[in-house]
Amino acid sequence: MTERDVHPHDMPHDPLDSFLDDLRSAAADTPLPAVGDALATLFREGAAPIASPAPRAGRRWSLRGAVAGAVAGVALSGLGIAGALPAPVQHGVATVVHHVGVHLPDPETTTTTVPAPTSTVPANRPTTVPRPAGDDHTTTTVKGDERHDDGVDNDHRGRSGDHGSTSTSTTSTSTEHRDGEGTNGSSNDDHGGRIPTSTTVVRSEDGSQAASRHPNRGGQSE
Amino acid sequence: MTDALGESFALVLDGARAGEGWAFERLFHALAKPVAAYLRGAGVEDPDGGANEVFLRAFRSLDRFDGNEDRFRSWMFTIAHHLLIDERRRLSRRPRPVPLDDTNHEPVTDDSFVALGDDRVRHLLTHLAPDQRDVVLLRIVADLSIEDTAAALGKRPGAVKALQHRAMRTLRARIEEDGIEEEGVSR
Repeated sequence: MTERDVHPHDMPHDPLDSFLDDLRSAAADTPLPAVGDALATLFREGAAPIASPAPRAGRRWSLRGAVAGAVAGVALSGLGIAGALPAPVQHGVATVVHHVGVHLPDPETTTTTVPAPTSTVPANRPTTVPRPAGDDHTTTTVKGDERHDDGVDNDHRGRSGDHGSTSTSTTSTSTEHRDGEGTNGSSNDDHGGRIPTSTTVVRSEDGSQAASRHPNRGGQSE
Repeated sequence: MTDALGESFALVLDGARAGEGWAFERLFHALAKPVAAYLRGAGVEDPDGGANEVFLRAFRSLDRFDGNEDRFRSWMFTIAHHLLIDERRRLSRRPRPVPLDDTNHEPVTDDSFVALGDDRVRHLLTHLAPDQRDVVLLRIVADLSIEDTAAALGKRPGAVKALQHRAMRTLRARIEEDGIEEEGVSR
């Protein structure tokens, strides 16, 4: 049943409406409160003028502006210190704070340093092939598939890139250069009066390789 | 119930800010009755004195107000509600006197309720919780909107709607239980 179906006078009476009507009537019948002495004096004599709220609103906005500016300044400084601002903004911030003695990264004055390339492993990395047992203190060093026919010294000290387990090998070049190949040291060694040298190669876990060359006393490896 | 100032409100408000006595009096006559009715219905011991205090507080704080007549009305009832809270706190700290020779009386269910003029209205309002009663009085007696009532009470509009809903449900159940409507007590 809706209001369209029934005339308002025939609608069932809501007891709550009656209560609310009574409440409104009771409030309307409330007498005007007696004016006390303080109010009576105020009505009769008035009071000092009261400041308008407009300046207060202005102060409120200025306070909000100050807080917003402080927050923006802190955020801008943080990003500027981190160098995370866009390049033009970063340049502006760096220029401004430079005047107060603070140096921030400036993309327009900072030169980019390209790191020097690290040593690379040659394509034809020499490999050390141990000689069979009984061939005392002698290993044959070959450079890839190329033999040292040119007599160039191939001293591989400090080379890296040989990945593998840590190992220490000693290569002696004291007596085995009968074929005139230059392995470690000068080529075409006629073994006359030259102090034989040996090279110690140390390989670490990360593949770096260090070598040292030292006189080989009596052809003994150390 | 309210003598609205209408278009003259801005002029009266400017006069009050200028300290003009006539402006204070106009504002008092415009809102004194509903303010006193609210305080009386909420149980303030001296509703007339309370209404005077509300207007004195308002006149001293006119520099904090900025808005139209509806906003001024809501602001006045906010001050009245703060005075009511002060009254309730004061009464809660004050020990209640107990008659020595008549200890078999039933305990008073409502601590400080002072009725409006109607006994039936007074009887029903006593069954509401204080916050529900505040909502009903501000909505019906002060004729405030949900939003203005929420602002006066310092609550969210949703909370005011919930309080009003519970108050209406309580009142309806109480009316049906008491059978007041069949007695034709309404005047």
